[in-house]
Amino acid sequence: MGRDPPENDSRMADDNTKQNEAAPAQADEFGVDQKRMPFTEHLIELGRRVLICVLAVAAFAVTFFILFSKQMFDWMTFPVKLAYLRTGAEATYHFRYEEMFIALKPMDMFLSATYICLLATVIVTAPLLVYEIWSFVAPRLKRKERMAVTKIVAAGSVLFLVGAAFAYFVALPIMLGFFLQPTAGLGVASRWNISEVIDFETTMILVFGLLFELPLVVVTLTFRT
Amino acid sequence: MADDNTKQNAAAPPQADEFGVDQKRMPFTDHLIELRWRVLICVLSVVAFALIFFIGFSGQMFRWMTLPVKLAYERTGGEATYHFRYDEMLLAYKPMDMFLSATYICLLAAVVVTAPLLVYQIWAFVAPGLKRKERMGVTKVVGAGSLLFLMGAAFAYFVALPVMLGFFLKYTAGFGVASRWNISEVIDFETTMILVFGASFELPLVVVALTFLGIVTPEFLAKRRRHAAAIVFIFAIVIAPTPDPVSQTCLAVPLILLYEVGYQVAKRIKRRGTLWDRWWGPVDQKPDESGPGEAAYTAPADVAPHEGTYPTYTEGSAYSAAYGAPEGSQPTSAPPEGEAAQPALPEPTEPPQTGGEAPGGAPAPAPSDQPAQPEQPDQPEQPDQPETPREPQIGAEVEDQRSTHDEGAKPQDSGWDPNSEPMH
Repeated sequence: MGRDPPENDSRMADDNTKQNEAAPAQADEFGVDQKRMPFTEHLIELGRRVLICVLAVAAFAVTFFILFSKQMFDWMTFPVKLAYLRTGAEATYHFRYEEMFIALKPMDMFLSATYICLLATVIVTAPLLVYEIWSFVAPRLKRKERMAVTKIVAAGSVLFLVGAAFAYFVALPIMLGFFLQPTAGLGVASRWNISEVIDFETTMILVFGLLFELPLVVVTLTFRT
Repeated sequence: MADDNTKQNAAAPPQADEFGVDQKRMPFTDHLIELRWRVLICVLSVVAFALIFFIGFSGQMFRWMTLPVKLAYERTGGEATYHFRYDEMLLAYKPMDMFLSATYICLLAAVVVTAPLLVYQIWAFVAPGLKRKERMGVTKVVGAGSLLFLMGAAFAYFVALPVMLGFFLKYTAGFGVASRWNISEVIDFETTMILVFGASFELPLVVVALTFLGIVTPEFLAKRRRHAAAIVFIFAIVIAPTPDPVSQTCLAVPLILLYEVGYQVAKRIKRRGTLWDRWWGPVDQKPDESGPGEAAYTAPADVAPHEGTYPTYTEGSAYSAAYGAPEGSQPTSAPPEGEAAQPALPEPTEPPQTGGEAPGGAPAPAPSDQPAQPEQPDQPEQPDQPETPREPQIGAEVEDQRSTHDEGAKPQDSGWDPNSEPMH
């Protein structure tokens, strides 16, 4: 592709191969002058970004745990409630929905709440995390690569979210109802351990999210320069 | 004879010590045979007690083990809070759960009950091989350690476990989830907590041991009190088997108090002379900032500042003092803080001091101020003082019972003599 000569400073950041020593120090749109940056400064920048991410995650996790853990828990058990109600509720199972979850160990509920809040934190801070990674990586990429990465990340995120939503709203209620009903039909009561339920749901959501990346895989395999 | 293994006299007649073991004459295989008998006695007694407990008292044991759960249930509101009776709370979800838990409890109880016998058997095997001084030390350490462990276990059982389990119960109920705890998980949780608390309560022993070895000094312990509290809290976070704040606090608060206990005992140990002092000569401390002699303290000119806190024998001073400094060795092991903490010390015997000298005379790093003795202009009457009047200020009540470095500031005393006297 046609490039301007190196003395055109506006394109300097895009062309890492043609390094011109005489060019003045100049920052790109991320504030990083990649031509002049020594290796240790890259490490320092990385450390700063990691620190920001860790602090954000910790702050959100603590806030969620203290203020919204009951809300999170209700959201997480919503598919179970849907399954219970759709397959007949108390008329079928002879126990109320409130009696369904038990904690088998003293710490079960505490650990599950911690896990849920950490997950929610990762989801909420995901844009920040992606931005930090992007700001670190982007100045090292050529413009063409930047475009490609942007497209892939955006499409992948959307696909993952679609898959997770599908698991949460459609697949999980059906699956859990499928497990609930024959169990009751065989005369076995479902008293599910709360940590097992949470584990099952998060695993399913993750699996569905990853499976929904299938179009991306197909596109990657057919991609030709 | 039994105290001095090194001076073995082949011509001496065979002679049994108070344990009935003639260690001079005993060949190696006899030791093995004795060991076998003792191990057999231990195993048989544990098994016998476990069987008796399992057959006769397993229900009682089980009620004792679940008492913290019951306390937690009742203290956090009982049926009014949880909408299920306490009888419905514990659950076996495998066929063997209850059987295995009962076996475990009865084995634990058997070990606890036979612990004195086990300790005696170990002791009877080991003790003839120890010198009298070592026996005294081991007795003290084992006695204090057992007491501390029992205290920690009792604290866990009566205080910490009900608080922690109550926290979990209430927390779980807050989400609308019923607590139907698996019986084997509950027993595991409780025994782990009791073990962790018992082991953590050995902290004073660790502090005292470090002081005795000369690794830390009481002044250091006092100065680093806040750091120690922070470290204890981190330790509690790491060591607590559960990641919740309640159990961590339950563990950290008594440990901070036990640190103070260890500090008090360490001060006493220091006053009586530590192992480091016996080997390398006394380590003098600068007076604490709240100490009485703080304003008047002046370090000798030749002593680097760090030498007031840490033992150094690289200067050739402490070593030479411990191994035969020829003359003028001053007994200087009385730190000013130690005097303040012990009112029983005969203060009036202290010679009058002039100028800016601390009440401890020259408590500055004792052996290391020897070469600089004539060059110190601010203690003019120091050289003409006799050695003996300084002795009583070290501690009158222990002076007659020991032969440590304190009276061993006599020049030919080469530190610690294993055959000297039992340590106190």
